[in-house]
Amino acid sequence: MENVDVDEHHAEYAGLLWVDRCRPTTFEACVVHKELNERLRRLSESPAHLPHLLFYGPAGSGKRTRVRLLLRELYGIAVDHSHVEHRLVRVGDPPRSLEYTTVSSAYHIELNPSDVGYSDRLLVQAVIKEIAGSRPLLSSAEQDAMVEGGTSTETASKRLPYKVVVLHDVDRLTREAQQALRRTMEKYAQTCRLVLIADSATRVLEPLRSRCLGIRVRAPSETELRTVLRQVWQRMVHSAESPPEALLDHAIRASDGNLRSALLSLEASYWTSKAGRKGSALPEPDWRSICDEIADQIRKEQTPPSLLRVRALYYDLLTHCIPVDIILSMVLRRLLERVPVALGQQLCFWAAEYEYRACMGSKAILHLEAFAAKCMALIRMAQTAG
Amino acid sequence: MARGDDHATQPWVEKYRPRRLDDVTQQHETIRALKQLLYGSGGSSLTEKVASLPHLLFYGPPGTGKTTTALALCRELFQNITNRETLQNRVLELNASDERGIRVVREKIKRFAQSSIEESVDAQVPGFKIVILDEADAITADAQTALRRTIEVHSRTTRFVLICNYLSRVIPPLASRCAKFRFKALEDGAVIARLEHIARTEGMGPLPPEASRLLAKAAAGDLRRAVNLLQSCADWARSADGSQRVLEPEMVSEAACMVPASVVERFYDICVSRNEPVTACFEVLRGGYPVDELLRQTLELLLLDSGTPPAQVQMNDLQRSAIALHMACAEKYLCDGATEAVQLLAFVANCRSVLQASS
Repeated sequence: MENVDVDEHHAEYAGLLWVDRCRPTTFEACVVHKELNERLRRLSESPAHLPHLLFYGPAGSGKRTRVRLLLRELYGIAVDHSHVEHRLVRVGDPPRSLEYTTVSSAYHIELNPSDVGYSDRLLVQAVIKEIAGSRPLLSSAEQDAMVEGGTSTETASKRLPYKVVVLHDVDRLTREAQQALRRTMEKYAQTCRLVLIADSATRVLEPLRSRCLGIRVRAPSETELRTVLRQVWQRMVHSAESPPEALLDHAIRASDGNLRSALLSLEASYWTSKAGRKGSALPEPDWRSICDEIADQIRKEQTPPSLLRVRALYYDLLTHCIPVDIILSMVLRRLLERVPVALGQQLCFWAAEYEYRACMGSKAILHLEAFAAKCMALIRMAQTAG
Repeated sequence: MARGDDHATQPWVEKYRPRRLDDVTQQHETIRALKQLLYGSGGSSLTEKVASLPHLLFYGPPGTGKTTTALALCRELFQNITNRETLQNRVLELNASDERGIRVVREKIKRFAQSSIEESVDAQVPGFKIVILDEADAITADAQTALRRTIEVHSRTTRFVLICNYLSRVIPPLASRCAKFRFKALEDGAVIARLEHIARTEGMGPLPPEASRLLAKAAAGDLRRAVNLLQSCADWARSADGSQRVLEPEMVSEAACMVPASVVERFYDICVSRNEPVTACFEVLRGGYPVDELLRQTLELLLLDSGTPPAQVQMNDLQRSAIALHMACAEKYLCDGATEAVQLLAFVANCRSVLQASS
């Protein structure tokens, strides 16, 4: 009942999380990144000149939201009528079937090519060729309008001579796929524009970066986070008052500048407190407390049995599909809080070394364990010296 | 209609691609040598010796005008061609990056080389065809081996222009069949001059010197990159009524995925000071700047630094080279896909150890 009141005209949103229900639908409604929004809006005003775009910034900083808003500005409300599709393509020589999932409307298509693993190059080429091969139909009047660079049509959905292909997680594409993209995007620039989204631009190849207009989306500041959390709370809980400050503080601190995770933890705390449990601040996620435990173990005892215990904890994390880089950086952070500065510097050096090996190699546990052993050795050495 | 449409949405790199050899930016020696081949010493009509034009190999860093020169060369070679024949019949442009492999090279190139051309009656129209192989270093070694025979067999009717970034990736027997021309990276001055010309033509008004300096710096001698960047920035800066705003330096550095100088200086401070580094590092990471770019720009500061930004830090050359070494290491790791946060922390830690070791 309550949900229906909130979004009468969006009944289909009722089952969604707050993050999705409160996603802004216009640039004006956005609280964070005011200046960036203004620039994007300006970009969308001369759609004929839209370059390829590369959105980059940390997770949960609002890249997808900005892309959606931009698409809406470009094509009007029609992009909201999008649907999820599971598709099968046969590509390559010898032909192989690839299964992938897309979200698409009449004007755009979103996909995450890194889903298909090593065949991502073939997928990228196949999809873009398919999209670019069919040019949206335009009347000649509309075409004239395009040449003058204006948007003359007053219809609900604006018509542009190109479609937009949104590629998620471009930084996880293989090198070959990125190489293939660079030629493809030049060749088909007439009929399709690419919007690339990446967590870090570092892993996007230089030639690819130079072909796009880079749009950096920084993590929202603490004040911005607070404003958004208050707004969402007021809208979803139906109260004029702000959420308890302690709750906000906790959500913001745990989020590390990630708006999505801040909103999720706010919603979770709301529901737990509603269920009658007091002390509504949520406990830390399990994986973090296990990382904590690992750091503690390394710090406390530097012996083979201790290493065995650490190994068990590592396995616990790995079997729950926590990525290696996240485990290692979290353990490192926790260790740095516990050791003297000079020792911390050495730990950082070795962490970089083992992290690199882990990402080049294939057996994560070996490198994680080697890192733990190295840390123990260093700590022991520092103790005997001091 | 379609033409006009194409022209309006054409990227500037295509729109402003020089069409004559004389217009190619900066590569004076190469252009002079090529013109010598075409026109002999002076004059504007082709010499007799054009018939013995060698196969050509252009090499050099990206964005220095190799493809442009090759196309312009064809245009000038066949400038007197009769109406019945078009340039398309005479020139085959193959981009190796999307159609590589031995089969394509053999079939497509052979078919083109074998197709007959009109018997040349006019001395001003050379009696051969041209095959331009762009990105020749991306052709597989097998295909290159197949090419070397093809080149010789068809050399009476066909000349090859190979274009590549790295001479070392073209197999020696192939390279030795061609006359080689090196294209050097463009100087900043030449890049800026070209950009200003384009900006004027596009009605962007004069570029602020600071912005054009940044553009040239971001491009690092790659004119294609510079022009692409300029176009992106122009889109950024275009306002609703179609009039142009002044190009601000921040816009340029954002569009080029560069890191603003203030952030680089802050990071440099973190590296050399003794304050708590972890929080500060994560603060930088939250900005979402590309870390490899950040390191690259920090290196610049490090090399320039004669003790200025934080006055208390006096580094000797040994320390500086040690830090540069650490930076190279971090760069390599990042390139191979290591995590930014860990590498950044490690780099800061390494810098500090270097500085503390001898102080």
